[in-house]
Amino acid sequence: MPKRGVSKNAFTLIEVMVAVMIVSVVIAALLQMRGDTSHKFIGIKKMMQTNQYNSFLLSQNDKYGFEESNIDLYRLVGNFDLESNLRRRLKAIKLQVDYEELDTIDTAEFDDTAKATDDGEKVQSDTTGIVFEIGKSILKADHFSTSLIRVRIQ
Amino acid sequence: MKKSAFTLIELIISIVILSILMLFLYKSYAALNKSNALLATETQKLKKTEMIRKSIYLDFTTAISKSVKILKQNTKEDVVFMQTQNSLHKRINPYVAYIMKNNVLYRLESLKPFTEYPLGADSEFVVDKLGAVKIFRTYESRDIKSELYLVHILFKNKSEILLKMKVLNS
Repeated sequence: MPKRGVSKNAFTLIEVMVAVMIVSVVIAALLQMRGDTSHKFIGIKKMMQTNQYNSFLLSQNDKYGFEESNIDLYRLVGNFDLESNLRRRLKAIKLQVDYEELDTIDTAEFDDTAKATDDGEKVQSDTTGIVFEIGKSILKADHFSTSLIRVRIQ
Repeated sequence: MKKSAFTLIELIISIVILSILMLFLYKSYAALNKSNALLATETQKLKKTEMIRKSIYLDFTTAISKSVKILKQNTKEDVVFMQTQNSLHKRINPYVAYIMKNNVLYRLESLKPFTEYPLGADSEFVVDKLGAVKIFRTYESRDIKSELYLVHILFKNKSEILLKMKVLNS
């Protein structure tokens, strides 16, 4: 065989290095994938844990949740005689409560009984419309935040 | 022709490099398997906790008004009796009891009312095992008319249920 043919069959240093680089990138990507899934799972677990604090906004009679305030988590369940350990733990969680109005629906707009006058203006009918206000209460703490969609009838 | 063949040294070196690569790949594969198994068990745990949370939520929110009775045993344990519209066993308005025995929480469902604890020998019920718990407490709001309840369950596997509920039939 001629000398030229022999040199063609061998890998050069550059070729080998490129191959090694490709393999290492693939392995790094594989390891990264594993890290991502467990990280996301821990996130979901924490989210499920903190989402239940939303239930504390139940029956607050407009005291908390519809305006912005800085409180601790215990204030939302203040009318329960909690065990001291639990009470202390909830008191340590400082919260910021925000309310964000998303939409309002006025049922009077869909009222067919409202009659139009000659100049085109609508006249309020005898049945007064109900206004539904849709909003979002957000509980923000240092390590988590959770929100709840609420409907208020005006 | 002789020149184009691999020498023994070349073969050995390539096998060594390949085996090192395989070793790392296998390690990564084994770790992936292990984490998959771990994720599967954790998901199972989450599923179970969610199921318990749902059952407790439905029991309390659809309870018959003023039927919830809390018998305090100690600082970590309560016994709760109620009548509710929620059933896990296709019964109509069953009587439900949550009791803790040997650090395991059980949900009992019966067509006859629960009146005393420890339960009488003639009581009939279906048992659902909810899991090993450290704390099971139910608190009632000071404003008794509002029928608000707060349930706190701390499981042995560290997951926690902390839920405030209102009896909707009140």
